[in-house]
Amino acid sequence: MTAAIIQAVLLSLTVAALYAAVAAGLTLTVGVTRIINFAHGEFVMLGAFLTYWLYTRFGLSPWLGMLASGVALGLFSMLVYRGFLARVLKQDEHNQLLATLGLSILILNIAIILWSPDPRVMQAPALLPSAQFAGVTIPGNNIVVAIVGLLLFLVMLGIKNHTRYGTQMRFASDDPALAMHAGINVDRIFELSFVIGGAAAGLSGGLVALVLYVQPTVGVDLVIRAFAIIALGGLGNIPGALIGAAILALVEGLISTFVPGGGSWGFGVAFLILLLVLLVRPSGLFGKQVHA
Amino acid sequence: MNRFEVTIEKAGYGELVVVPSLSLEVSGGELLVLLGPNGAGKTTSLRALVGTVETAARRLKLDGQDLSALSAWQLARARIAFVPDGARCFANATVEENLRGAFEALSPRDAHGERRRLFELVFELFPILRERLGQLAGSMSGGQRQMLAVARALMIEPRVMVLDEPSAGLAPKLVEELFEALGRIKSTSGCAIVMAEQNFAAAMSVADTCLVLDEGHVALTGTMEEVTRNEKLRIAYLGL
Repeated sequence: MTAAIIQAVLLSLTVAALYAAVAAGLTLTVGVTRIINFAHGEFVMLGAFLTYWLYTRFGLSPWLGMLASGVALGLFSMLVYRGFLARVLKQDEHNQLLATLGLSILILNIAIILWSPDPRVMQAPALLPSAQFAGVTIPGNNIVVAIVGLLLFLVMLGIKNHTRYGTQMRFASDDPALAMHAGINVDRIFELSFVIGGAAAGLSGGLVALVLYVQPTVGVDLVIRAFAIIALGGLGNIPGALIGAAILALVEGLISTFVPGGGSWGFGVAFLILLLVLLVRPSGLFGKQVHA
Repeated sequence: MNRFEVTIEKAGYGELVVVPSLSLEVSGGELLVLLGPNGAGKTTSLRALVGTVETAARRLKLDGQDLSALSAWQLARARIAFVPDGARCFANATVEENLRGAFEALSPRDAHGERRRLFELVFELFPILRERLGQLAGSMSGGQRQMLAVARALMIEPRVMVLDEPSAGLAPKLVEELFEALGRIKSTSGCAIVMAEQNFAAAMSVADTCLVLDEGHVALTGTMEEVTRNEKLRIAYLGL
């Protein structure tokens, strides 16, 4: 029993890292531009497919595949931003919501038409050897997900807090008009954060291909969890999101492992927790009052 | 040096024209104050100048160079600094980040010496900022935020500084301090200053020339001396 609990906790934590990786890019985009980007999940899905194909068709190592997915989705995000979102940003927030939701549904359905809804498994050899810990085995790919997911998170945090572009991102999100008067090209900074967020989505798609089924709908569940995580942690609060991811994944993992028929319970209970947190602390567990 | 010439036509919001026409000129080392009661069009004029309010025409010239086509953020890069009303700062950033970020937005990556020099310059003008470096700007008092707002503008070594009612909401003692600092800025940096102000008495101490707006129209313009001598206009427009 103890071993089973440890196993469930450890696996849940690697799942948390995956959720965190998906949320990392999203929290940058949402925190800076205030665009609620529903299509982030589809960016993740595209990254997963790309990594999967690069491996199955060209034998490219998933290490390189996830990097390539990051670059590809960064470029794709730039196209989406310039061709589409930059215009919608000038309209009111409801239009932005509908625009990204529409984009999300559009990409999802094109994917289903082109590639069929069938789940695929990337049968690549594990990227790292599996590890033994307190009598339980953690598969190597879960370790990769945990490490890369955390790294991605730290990189996002570093960009935001320790680079000159990060300062400009924070200024632009704090007060776009004032940032403009400080000589900051706010449009360009918004684009930059959207592109970095998209690249992070692509890279986390590579992680998805390692541990989950690759299928068109894979991004939908993930993006809902990512929004929940961001809400739990407090909008724009990157470390808060990390803890939010751990809470969500642990609750889900433990319930689906130990409650009979818990597979369908986990997701629901996790969101019940989210709703309760939002009732008690609307700015999230770690959200500051000033931080809008 | 730093001769700044502005002409604005039909500044307003959509159909509503607030300021039909306005021209002003100010030179480096001079402060021009835009006076007038609430609703006279001071803020609209300044926003039209920096390009955030629509105009039928806007002409900006700095030392003969035409800057009319520049947008708000490009004007800052041309070292025309705008300090909007309301002591606005980047509330979720510290005082230090506010200042450093403003510097970095315009400067090359390796200009550390330059940055230190400007930091010293603003600390000399506003010593309180040195003590508050690590504090979040949003948690400071209105007066301190206004000083930070002016200091942030100074971090780009402005050739022209445009300020919208910097004294609003400040205690008289702070207004005095702030205007004294503005006086020192114009005389030491050679920067030209355009400032909208309701507080005529305080503005008098630091302004060189004056432009009085009344319901969007220029009612009176001239040097401070001329304006203070013209008793009739003074009483009519400034209530003094």
